[in-house]
Parts: sequence; structure tokens; C-alpha cells
Amino acid sequence: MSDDLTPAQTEAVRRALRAARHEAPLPDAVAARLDDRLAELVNETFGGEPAAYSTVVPIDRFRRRNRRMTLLVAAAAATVIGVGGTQWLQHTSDSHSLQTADRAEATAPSPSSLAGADAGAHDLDNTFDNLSGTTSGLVQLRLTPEQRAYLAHHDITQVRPIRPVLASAKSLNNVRTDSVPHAQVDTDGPTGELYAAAAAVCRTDLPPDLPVDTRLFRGLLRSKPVILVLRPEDGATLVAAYPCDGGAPTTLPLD
Amino acid sequence: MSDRGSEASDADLLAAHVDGDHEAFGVLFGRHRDRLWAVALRTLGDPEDAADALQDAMVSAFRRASSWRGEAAVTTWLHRIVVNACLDRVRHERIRTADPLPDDLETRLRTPERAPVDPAAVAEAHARRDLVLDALASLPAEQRAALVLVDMEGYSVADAATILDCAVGTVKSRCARGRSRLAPLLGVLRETGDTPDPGNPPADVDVPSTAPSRAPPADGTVQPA
Repeated sequence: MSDDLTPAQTEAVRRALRAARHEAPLPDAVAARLDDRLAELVNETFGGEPAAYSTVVPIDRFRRRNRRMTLLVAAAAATVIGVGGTQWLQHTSDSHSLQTADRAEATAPSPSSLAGADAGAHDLDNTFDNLSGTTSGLVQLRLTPEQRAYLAHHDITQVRPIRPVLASAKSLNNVRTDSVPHAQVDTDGPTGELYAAAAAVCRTDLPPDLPVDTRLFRGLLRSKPVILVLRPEDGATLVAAYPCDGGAPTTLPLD
Repeated sequence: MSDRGSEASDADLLAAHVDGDHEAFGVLFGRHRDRLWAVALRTLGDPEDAADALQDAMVSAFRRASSWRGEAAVTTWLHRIVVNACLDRVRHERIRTADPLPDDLETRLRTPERAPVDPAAVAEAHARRDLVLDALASLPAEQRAALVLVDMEGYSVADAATILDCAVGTVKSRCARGRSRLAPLLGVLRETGDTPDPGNPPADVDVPSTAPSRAPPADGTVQPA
């Protein structure tokens, strides 16, 4: 019992315990895992957004697969969706999905441009990452653990991809006209999708000249919501964090 | 994420989640998960077990959000769920295999050192911390959880009692017993030079037995069986 300890001894033990308090933030690997599980929970509980990926999934790859494989795809997609935060894929084998995908096939990138013609179940996760880009190109939307750790080191946390193809053009109303003149935003093109995707997350001051291969993420910079713009420049990748409440971006080299 | 996320109270976010807001729980959990992780890690001692417990707790909180009635702060409620998940894991030694963590988790879990000024001092601090954690791991789980909440995380005894779902006196007792067991392991008794009376006779004093001797006779003769 503490009665056995003098007040000085009790305080010494308490001081030692205080000094051993864990101060480091949640490790990136654990955070990513929690994000994935949370995404699954949200999907299970609230349901996904309908047929969101249908415009970019080359459906003929799935036609070659039996129903079991389709279910595996859905499971793998759920994992990827976890990284995506609030954007979801509901890929089912019902006729409606196939019809939607049939329509999408005309605009989807050629399957031959994808690495591996018949990915097995083990690499479906990566396949979906590759598929879930913009309609104009295949954009990798998953950060490596090293990149996440680097961002976390700069106080940028809870990074989740924003998938332009899922955004509504109506979100352009959220784009601040002082920073992005409407004349420069082609609402039908891939650039317009980028702005619409960002605007669907928050009002922001993105520059008016985003290249089409820009990758968009959202996250927190010192607990403040930001839009993260990743774009290649001179062989490197730059990440710029644009505060959702306006203000100048914070730019870092990511590679 | 909307601006609302950075301004809404914990209670508002929990209510929004219950009302069907897809993002509210993520914002809420994101606010507290660093501290929840710290509690899980220190209570369980093992990073993989802590990650499992934290995930279990997150799932539980997500699903049971409507059970929160506002009697305690949301963060207290979250801590309670995390500690329960940890204690459940200790009690049942339940190790799940779902979602295995990367092989190099230990490497990833290490916090990057920030330019140590004195490597010797850093090494000493680490050794000291390891000693504390090893000693903490030797305690019963309930005592450990109480000490983690009160002495490490700085919760009041009353809040810790709410988190642990027990009486204030129980928390005080667990903390007292835990500190008492830790003190010799941490060398506190030597440092203070103030060893309390253990209540036992000195080791060098003979205590005569009243029972008949079971030793062979002193003259070396052997008695018949």
C-alpha cells in the first residue's frame, strides 16, 4: 500500500511514471490501418455512394472473372476505399452496374495501358489504386508509408485522397472566384474535375493552373483542414497544403 | 472535411455521427486518437496488442455512439472504451489475426530522434523509461491501467474512476498498491534512503522452531524404520 511509502517516495514513483508517458503521435502504420477500418465501418453503416467508379473501371476485365472473383474485387476495393475516406465504390455484379460500366467503357482508358492484363486477387488492391484516378489519366492516389511519415513529421496528418471523378461539377460554386476565374475552369474537362473535387471538400484558394496530373488529398495541417496538392515539378514531387479557411499554402518537396 | 470539423465540440460531432454524418466520427476520433493510443500502448505494453485494442475500441465507439448519454465528457467515454478493450485483451489474452501489421512495425513505431544534444543523456533517459515500463508491465492489469490514467495521463482520480467504471476508493487503492510495488523496482527506496519498516524480523536473527527436529541424531546412529 502507499501507506508503506513516504510522500517523497510516492512522488518519486509518480514522477518516474510521468516521465515515461508516451508522447509520440499515433504511428503512421497504425493510423492508416484505423483509417481503413473506419472507412469500412462508414461504408457498412451509411452505405456507399452509387457506382462512383463506374466511369473509370474497364469492365471487360471483370467480365472475364467469375462471381467469386467479383466478390474478391469488392473486398479489395473496400480496403482501397478506406484510404479514400469518404468516397466509396459499390461494385456489384448486378445488371445495373454492368450497364453503367458498359457506358463507361467508351470513355475509360484502355485496359492494355494497365500493368498486368489479368491481375490475381493478391494484387487487386494495387489494381484498384491504379484505376481510381481521373478520367484523363491513371493517377496513383496512394501515398507510401514513407511519404505519410514525412508529411506527419511536418504536422500534416489524416491524409486521404480526393478522387476527382467522384466530384460534382456543382461544387464549382464553392471555388473562390478571386483565385480561380471561372473562365479558366473547364467544368467538362479533367482540370475542372480537380477544382470541383477540391471544392467538394471545402472552399479553398487553389491556383488557377493546376496540371491535369495533379493529385489531390485532404488532411489536417496542425489540426486545421487543408487541401493537399501534389504535383510533379522538375523531376520531384511538390506538395502544397492550402488551408480550407484561406490563406497562403505551405509547400514542401515530397520526394 | 468541412470547417465544421475544426470547430464543432466533441459532443456535437458524436451527435452528428449518430444522426448519420459520414465524417463526424472520423473527425472526433482523429482529435483524440494520439492520447488513446498512448493509453493503450502503456496499458498493454506491446504495440501490436495496443493497435488491436485501439481498433477494437474504435469499432465499439463507432457502433455504440448512441449509448453516450452525456454523463461524462466524450473523451472520458472514449478512454473508457479503450481501457476496456485493453483490459479485455489482457483478461482473455485474445490475439486477433485480422489486419496484420507490417513486419517492420517496430521500426515504424520508433519516434525519430530530434537531434539529441547529449547522446549519453538520451541513452540514460531511454534506459530509465525502459525500466519504468518493465516495472509497469509486472503489475496486474487493473493497477497498471489506474496508474497509466492517473500518474501518466494526469487524469483526476474521479475521472479515472469513471473511465475504469469503479469507485474512487478503488482507483486510489489500485494506484497506491501499484506505486508500492513499483517503488523497489524503480530503486526509489534506495534513492530516498528512507526504507519503510517492512514488518518482518531482521534476516540475521534466529527464530527457534517449536516443532521436533527432523534432522539425523547428533551421534550419527540410524533409527530402525
